Amino acid sequence: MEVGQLQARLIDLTSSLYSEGFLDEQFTQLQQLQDESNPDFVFEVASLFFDDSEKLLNNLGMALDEQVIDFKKVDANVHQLKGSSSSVGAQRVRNACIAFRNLCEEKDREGCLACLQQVKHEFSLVKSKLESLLDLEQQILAAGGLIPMME
Amino acid sequence: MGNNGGEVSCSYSSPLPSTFPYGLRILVVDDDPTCLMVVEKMLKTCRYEVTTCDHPATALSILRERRGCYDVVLTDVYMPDINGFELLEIVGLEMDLPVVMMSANCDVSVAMSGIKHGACYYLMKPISMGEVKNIWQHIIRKHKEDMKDAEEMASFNQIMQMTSPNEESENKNSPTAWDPVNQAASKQRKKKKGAIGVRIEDKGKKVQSLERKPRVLWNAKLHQKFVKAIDQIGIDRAVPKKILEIIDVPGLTRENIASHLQKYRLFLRRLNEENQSGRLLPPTFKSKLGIHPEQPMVSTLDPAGTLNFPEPFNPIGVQPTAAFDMQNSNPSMLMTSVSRLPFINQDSQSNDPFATSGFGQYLNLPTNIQPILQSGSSSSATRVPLLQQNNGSMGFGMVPQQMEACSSLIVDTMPTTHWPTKPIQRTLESASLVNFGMQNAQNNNLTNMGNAELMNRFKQFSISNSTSNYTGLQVSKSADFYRMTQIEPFGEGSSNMNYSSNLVNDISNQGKIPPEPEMNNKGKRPLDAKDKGKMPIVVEEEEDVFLPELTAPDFNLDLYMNLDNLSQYPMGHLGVIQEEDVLMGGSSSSHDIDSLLQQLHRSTFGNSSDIQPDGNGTNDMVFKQAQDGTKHMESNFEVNPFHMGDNDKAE
Repeated sequence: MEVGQLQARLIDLTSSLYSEGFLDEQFTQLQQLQDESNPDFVFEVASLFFDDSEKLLNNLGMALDEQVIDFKKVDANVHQLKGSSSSVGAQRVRNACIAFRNLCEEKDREGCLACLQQVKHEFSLVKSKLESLLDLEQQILAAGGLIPMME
Repeated sequence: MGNNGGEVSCSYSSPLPSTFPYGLRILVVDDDPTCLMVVEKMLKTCRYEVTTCDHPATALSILRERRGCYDVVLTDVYMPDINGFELLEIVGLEMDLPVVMMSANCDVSVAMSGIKHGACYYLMKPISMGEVKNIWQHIIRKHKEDMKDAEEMASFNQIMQMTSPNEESENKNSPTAWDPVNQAASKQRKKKKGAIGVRIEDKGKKVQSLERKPRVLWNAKLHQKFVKAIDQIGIDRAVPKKILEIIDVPGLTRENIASHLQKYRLFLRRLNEENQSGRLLPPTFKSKLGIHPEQPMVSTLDPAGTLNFPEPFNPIGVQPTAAFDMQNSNPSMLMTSVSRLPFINQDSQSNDPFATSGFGQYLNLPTNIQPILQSGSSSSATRVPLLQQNNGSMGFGMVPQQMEACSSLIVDTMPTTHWPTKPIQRTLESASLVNFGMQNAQNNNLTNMGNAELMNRFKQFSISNSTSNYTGLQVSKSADFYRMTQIEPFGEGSSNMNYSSNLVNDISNQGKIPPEPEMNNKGKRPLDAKDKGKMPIVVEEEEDVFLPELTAPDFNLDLYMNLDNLSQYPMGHLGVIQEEDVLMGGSSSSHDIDSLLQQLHRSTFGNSSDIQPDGNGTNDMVFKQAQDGTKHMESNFEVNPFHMGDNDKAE
């Protein structure tokens, strides 16, 4: 595929991610931080986010599996997930975390379990989409093109 | 943004980089690696120097190891072990660095809490580039506030260093001679003292205008509690919340404690730095009364971080007094001055030996003293005899427990004694000779009036006391001083500790020394510095100072010290001096003071003429010779025991 096409695809994908709320302005800032001195910055941050979040989600799963749920611990994990997702701009994940925290406060076990599923779902969605996006960018760069930036 | 360079330097923290805000050294603490990476990148893009850390404990150790290497700390709130607020407090208190907080928690209440805890700013995640760019503004603000504090402190220290009005004041005989504000301003004009490296502008106005917010007045007792609380907790773990719990004073807020603690730590740190560097601090902070560079007379942080409180020092020393207007609504000024008044005993019980907090900032004169210290015009209202002078003379005074009071207490008056070993630090006897004006009702029967009279007479001894300290007494040379054991080489508790400057008072107490909590029986002081980690006082060798009476060849200190033998002491027994007696012109009891004074006088000046009253100053206490030869003191104003008046012409 030639550069132009790749770039077009990238633009489409990026627009949809923003319009569907998967990504927010924070992600744009991340992209703007990427420069010659750190050309893989977005990729690094995204990777870190994915790894860290998976850990957190596992912890959450385990915590909610307990007989007696330690909601404080659950809340702490959700809080952290909320922080990291907001730092990368994963908006829907973040929103899901906010809802999750409310449920934790109410100590709603069922609600928490359901919400955890929701968070996991959102996370996997944004993860795959981001991976596609980053992959496209690599392809464009490899083809000698420039990555179109979102306004 | 621009190069603020040295202008934003603050003596308390390391100066900002000269390329500020670029090159700002920031330590970021967050247990979230994603966020940490993002923020780090943002900061680096802003050309800050970034160090990241994912655990608060690590952050603290980094900060401690590399003091002065960071300008600001950016920390997350929710972290394992130590949360951001605690880190904030510790950093603020130990290192006095600006702290910016961040959190995914967007609750206003949390943000409010952060600011109240002393954070410079509170960022809500996600952190945007714009916010990061402007972090430097918060740093500047903090530095500005620090500078203000520094100036405040410096100005107080200046005031403390004020020598007698005779030295510098243009208006010798005017009531404003003692006005510390004017004094400070005048002194400042005459010689610029960048006491702690901060350029001090017109101190006079500045001091008075530094009324930023209503302050808690840290009186002696309060500070004492504070210090004890810290001692209890351990300086490392001393956080305002715990201190507040221990102190348990209604109305005292955590913020009050936090700011007091911060200043206290700064003070201690300065002292430690001084110790380590082996230099003497500028007079501002050094008590010349026994401050040895290695052995300050103050609480210090030893390497283990334990707060060591020196034994209260009770030299015959200086009466640190600063005239200041008690009515002055600037409590900090008040306090600083007062803190130099070691004897200031918040309660009239002289049982409280640790009279002043010494820390310096917030000590307020006890209200019961205030009226005494009023001497008419408000500007000269509180005349607390000021201490010292550059000639090393020393007046009477008690050195407060905490050193800082001493530092400005006796700025330039150092007893010449050089202590071969660790000198004993004496407890501040609340009812000491120095307690002129101290209304120590209980055990100290020398009322203010009595004291005033004494003081006034002592004034006459100040011929070679260039401090024109009202006491006028000068500490003798080292040998003498040593002999007098006013300040003793640090031994295993000379039992005479208690005596120190309590000349008259001891006597007048009829041998009853108010019990000192930290004293062993019979006034033996538990002076083993090692035990308590207390720093003994080492008195610097200085110019000649003498204490006439106590250097009398026939002076038998042991005899004197043993209060049971007081009657053998030539000075005799003062007995109880009633205020009315003095005011009314004396009674038989005043004879005792008389004889004491005469003794002192004679030993100082030989059988010179009687103390001549100073005729000019209406503020002076006047001694008149009555028909029967007894001297009575009359004054045409409410006697101010601290009032030095102009009798003291010593220079």
